[in-house]
Amino acid sequence: MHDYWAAVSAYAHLERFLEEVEASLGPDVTPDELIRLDAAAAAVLVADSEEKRREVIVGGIADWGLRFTEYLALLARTAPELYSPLAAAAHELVATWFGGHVATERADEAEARARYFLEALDRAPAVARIAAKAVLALPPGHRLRDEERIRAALDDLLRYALDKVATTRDDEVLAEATDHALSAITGLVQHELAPPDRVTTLLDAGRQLLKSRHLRDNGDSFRLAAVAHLGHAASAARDRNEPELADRLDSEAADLLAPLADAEIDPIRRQLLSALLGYAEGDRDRTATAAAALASIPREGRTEEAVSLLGSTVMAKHAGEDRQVVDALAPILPTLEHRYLSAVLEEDVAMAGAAVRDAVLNLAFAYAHRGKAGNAVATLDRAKSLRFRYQSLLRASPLGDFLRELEADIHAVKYGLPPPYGDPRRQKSVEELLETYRQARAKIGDEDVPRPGVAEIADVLGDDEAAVVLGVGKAETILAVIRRGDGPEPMHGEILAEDVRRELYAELLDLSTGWWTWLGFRSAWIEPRRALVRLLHTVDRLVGKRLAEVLAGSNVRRVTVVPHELLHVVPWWALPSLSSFEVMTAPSAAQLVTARRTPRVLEATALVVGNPTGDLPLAAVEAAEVAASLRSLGCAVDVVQGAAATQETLARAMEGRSILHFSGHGRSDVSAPMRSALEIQAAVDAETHDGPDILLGLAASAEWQKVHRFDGAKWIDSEPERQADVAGHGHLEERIRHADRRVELRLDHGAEGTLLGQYALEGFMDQDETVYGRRYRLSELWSAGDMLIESCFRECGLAFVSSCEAGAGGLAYVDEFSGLPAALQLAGVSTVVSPLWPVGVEMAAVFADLFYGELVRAGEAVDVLALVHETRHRLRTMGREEVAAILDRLHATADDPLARFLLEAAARRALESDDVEPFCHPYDWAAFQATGAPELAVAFAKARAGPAAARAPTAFELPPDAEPRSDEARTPFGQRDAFALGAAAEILAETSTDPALGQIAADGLYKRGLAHSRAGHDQLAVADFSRAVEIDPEHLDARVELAQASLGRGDAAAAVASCDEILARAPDHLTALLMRALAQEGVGRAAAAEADLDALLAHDSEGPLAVPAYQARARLREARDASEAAVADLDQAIRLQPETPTLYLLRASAQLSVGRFDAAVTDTNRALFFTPDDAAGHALRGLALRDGGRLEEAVRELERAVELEEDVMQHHYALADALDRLNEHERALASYSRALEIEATPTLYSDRGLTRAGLGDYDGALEDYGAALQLDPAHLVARYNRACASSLKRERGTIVDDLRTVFAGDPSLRENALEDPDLEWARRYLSDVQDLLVMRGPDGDAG
Amino acid sequence: MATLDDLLERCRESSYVPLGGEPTLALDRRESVDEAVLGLARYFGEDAGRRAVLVTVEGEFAGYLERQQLYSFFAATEKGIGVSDHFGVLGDPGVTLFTLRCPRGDFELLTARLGSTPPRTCPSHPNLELEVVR
Repeated sequence: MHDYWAAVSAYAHLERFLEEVEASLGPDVTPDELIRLDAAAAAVLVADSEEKRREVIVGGIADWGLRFTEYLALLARTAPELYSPLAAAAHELVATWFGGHVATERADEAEARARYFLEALDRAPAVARIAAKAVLALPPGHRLRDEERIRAALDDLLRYALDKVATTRDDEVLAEATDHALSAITGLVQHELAPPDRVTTLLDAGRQLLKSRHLRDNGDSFRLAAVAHLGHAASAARDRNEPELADRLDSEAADLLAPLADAEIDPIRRQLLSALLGYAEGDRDRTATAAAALASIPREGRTEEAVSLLGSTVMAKHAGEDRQVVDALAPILPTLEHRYLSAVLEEDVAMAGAAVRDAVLNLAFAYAHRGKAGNAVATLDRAKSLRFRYQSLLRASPLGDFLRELEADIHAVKYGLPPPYGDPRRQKSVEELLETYRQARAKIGDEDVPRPGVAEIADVLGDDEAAVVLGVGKAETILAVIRRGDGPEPMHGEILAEDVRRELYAELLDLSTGWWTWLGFRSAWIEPRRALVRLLHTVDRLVGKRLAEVLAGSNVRRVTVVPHELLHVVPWWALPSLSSFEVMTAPSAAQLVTARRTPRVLEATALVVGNPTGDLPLAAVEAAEVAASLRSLGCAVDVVQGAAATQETLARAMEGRSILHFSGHGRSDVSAPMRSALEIQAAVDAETHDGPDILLGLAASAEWQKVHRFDGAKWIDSEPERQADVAGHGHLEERIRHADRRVELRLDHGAEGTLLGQYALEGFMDQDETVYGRRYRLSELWSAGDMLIESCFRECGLAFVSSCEAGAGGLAYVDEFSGLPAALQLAGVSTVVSPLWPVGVEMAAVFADLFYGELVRAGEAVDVLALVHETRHRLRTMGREEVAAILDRLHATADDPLARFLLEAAARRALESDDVEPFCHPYDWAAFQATGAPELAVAFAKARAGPAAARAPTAFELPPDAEPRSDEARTPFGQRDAFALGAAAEILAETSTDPALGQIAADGLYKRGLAHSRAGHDQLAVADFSRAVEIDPEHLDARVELAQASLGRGDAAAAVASCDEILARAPDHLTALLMRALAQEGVGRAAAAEADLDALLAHDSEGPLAVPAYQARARLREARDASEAAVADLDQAIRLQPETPTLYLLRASAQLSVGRFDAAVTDTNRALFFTPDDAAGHALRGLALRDGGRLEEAVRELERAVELEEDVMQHHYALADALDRLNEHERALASYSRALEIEATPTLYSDRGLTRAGLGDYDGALEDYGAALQLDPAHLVARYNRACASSLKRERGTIVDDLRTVFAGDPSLRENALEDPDLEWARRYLSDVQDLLVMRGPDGDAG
Repeated sequence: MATLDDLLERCRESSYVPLGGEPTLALDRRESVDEAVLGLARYFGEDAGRRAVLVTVEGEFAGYLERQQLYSFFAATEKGIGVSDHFGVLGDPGVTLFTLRCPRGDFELLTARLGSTPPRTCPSHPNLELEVVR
């Protein structure tokens, strides 16, 4: 029995304790729960280490949420001697945990934290920002990620706090309210919960709050959130070629950072801030000094600090301090790697991976700059396929099968399907399974992940081999060559000129001709053959020739290139300079070492799969030929073709097989490599082929949700995709492929099952509903992910995947080997032969025929790479007749008449080819590659059964291509150059009649229009938007911009017409409704404008357009004297956006109209809190005070307005009026005079005349009235007052005529004149006046 | 994806001198010719001696289509996404041409699909409906 029970036993009043439990935890806690809660609390007490205690507390919160911490607090009150220190320590830990610090590596820690705060939010609204951080850390789609609730909580907090700030005078309350307001603003900005316009006002409000003397701290969090926002905005401005704006934003960021650099804060944070500040200000010395200071701070291995330090070393890198980079990064790299390898959530993997990548690059290049090529090579390799290598280690561990089963369960549960291995009676959540998975992985650890140095790499190489390691940094490129016998340093190491990296990436990523761009996006305007040739010319010039120089004169035969990042898509074997070498690639040097250490012996068993989707007749012929070749070696071959080739059949047939040959469709997904797949027969009821389509049926009733993808830094909506969970069927995804007018439906229907349907895209109906056309193909996907959780490939030594682009791995955030070749190797295959890009069926059949022909002759020791190398060059050098002969031979063996005709057609094409050698283009001959182990042993080979075929010459030249273009002529993909995009779009629009391409062209023009607009070239912008609409009338965004442009140039009628077009197509288009309302207002159609705003607000009264809509409607309502309704609208606008001073001023104005002077004063107080030097705010407050009778205060406010804006007539006028009311007529006179100097109006003259008359200056008064009437003869007040002034002066003057005109214009003034003392003289002595006063009728006739 | 215009263009280009006895391929203007093209490929693939077919559209003579003229409808295909669209559905494409024959045995006609229209009648014996022989 531990101390805790002793303490409870000692507690004398158990009943009272239970009462307190109930008070703290609520009445619904059951005794059973209490006992378990107790046990959890007890575990905290007995935890024997700090780490253990941390885990127990987080575990308690994960299980119990808020109740757990409340119970700990209760225990601390109950038995303080035992629990107080513990509770304090726990409190401290929990507090840091609340702040977002990761306390444990639990996979469900983030979820536990979010649940805790969602619970806490109801009780303590002030935790809104921390809750935001906790809840929004969860990935989109997570059931607890309630973004709307968080936004509402932050808005509520902000409104509440600002209200307090404006209304209270209590210092304590003010301080608290200021903190809360700043906290809420920080949350809204930090988590991008406000639209861009609102962020600007939020930042202004935050800056104002920073000036408050009541602020308790330095506003660190706000400053950092604002700096992050401004930094991104500045970066975006630079991308748009707006350097001035970028500089201004950087400067604003620097202003916000400055106070932090000198503040008393954590030293690491302080130095990091200083480094950032130096960076923002372009002060390299400051950056370097701060980085040096950071490196000297003891770190104690804390991850957060390590990451902070990493940031600083990036800065140090900018300052060129290589030694500091090495000193700082080398010790923390293992921590970063561990974080990357232990992460199991997608976003954690991405973030941690990016940190490893950055650290490795900086460290490797720092080593290289210091002449330590060996260290550079070893360091570069640490980031290459690191997770893949760890996964291999886990697979080979005693827990390998358990982990594989867990992965299958996680995959199934994620999609709402029963787990194939888990306990069906107690189905766990994804998070629970992930946590189990993480714990199991942790048992294996990552210390044994191979991290070879140069000597180990050299050790596995043959005498005639070289390994070439490439590393691409931010500017430079490392080239290292390792030979057998090398020690810690490679035989050769150098840093290539900066141009190399720049040119390589520019070529790969070129929007118009880039090979990578084509592989990734299949852009319709890129001709792949030309793109490949351009790339090969460039790579050969920049790297190939240099490498050939380094290897010249050596006895090297085989070269294994270990590329880096984008360079994985280069077919290095197709570089002319390397034509004398047998070239292969390895994902990492570590994998090169591993592949050579485990030689595989092929047994005489093979599975050959042909035409599994039934639509590639030649694939079936190829499979039959391969089977015949293997059988000639004595190999037992199973051939599975067509309808029999389901995943279940294939997986079963593959068990124990040594060789796999697959001839069918394949697909590679560079953005999600695990989705890369081989297409096979769908195991659906055969009836569905002709009957109702199961996928279309599910799609019709699916409740679609957005798809979110992690882009390496944040979650983004993936526009062309959507997804739905379909009960009982699985997870359905739809992907629109605009480029080729297709739509795919993909159903994950089991742990290892994915059904794919491909349809024509007919278009879209209302609400963007897809209209599906005819089905092209229905197939099951045998995906890379499936292969990873299957065990059937364990015995497989050689996999020949004769399928489109099967060999293309993925390009994730980190340099990870992935896609089908990686999955197959991870699943157990030693060597994979596969094409790197789409291959033609005939070429693939010929390649396979030649390859297996060589294999049959190869004997017991097979050099697979040499076979692939030889086959490539035989293919390249084959004449027309030879190709036709092979196709004829295949024709003779084919049973299927369709296949026979296709082969006949192919043979004819070969014979009629323009090229003497039909496959001489590298796009044809260089597609296939070998990865993994280069050599295999064939136990069943009939040694030297036949003579080797004659060797093909390997030297070749590339097809000619245009001269490399200058940088200016390039259209870089990465920079999203809108102008280049627009130019490409124009060409597209001119040259294509395809509606799909038309849409792409219209979009390109639209984007260029935006760029023109940002650059201030409005006419060019309008031309692009107009052209976009012309090409694609449905391009509503372009129409919106046209309407906006019309509004901007004051052409309201054109704006209304544009909006009409939009609303005819999309009646609920909110932006169009708002713009049309503003335009209607502009042309005086107030009722129509208000109707549009009513419609907008009825549709969405909370969204980003609601505030401007409420504001506009309030303006219209006030104009028609519906001020109460205007106030109500402004109440709503302020509820949504409480930090916007303009809204308070507008409401103050409306309050004035309905006579609520105090409310108006309060609103101006709120506005002036944010903008204390706003003259309009002071003027409005002055008017409210004046009308409320607080004249002295009014005069002070109006004087302040005049001080701030001396040249505004209205301020002087209002001041003059207030002074008059205070009987300060002389001062009033001066103000009127100044007002008249600025702008002369009849009323001003009239009012000054009144003041002059009051001072007895009747001549002056008469002069003013005359001036007023000269400006406006119908000004009745001036005319009446002129009559009064003449009467006071006792002169007839114009009295009679004036009064006659006045009474005619406003008969009610006759009553006034009867009593007016100023007219007494006229009434008494002028009979005409007496007559006028007793007469009736507008023209003075007797009534 | 083949179009009827493509097919008719090939017929117009043809300088084929009929040997007599060429089967007739009857096409319907409203329907896709993909299936007819695939069926023809299979038809020619069954027998290397088959040289040409006579093509009619809506019963009107359109010309002769020679075996080698069909090659151009089957340019090199890739094993990628959507590159075998003309095969239409999963599984063995199974697209073949139906042979219709007059019960008297003196007239034969190929067609890609039977459609919903009533069986055609024999031009020589208008009162006799053609029968599907395979």
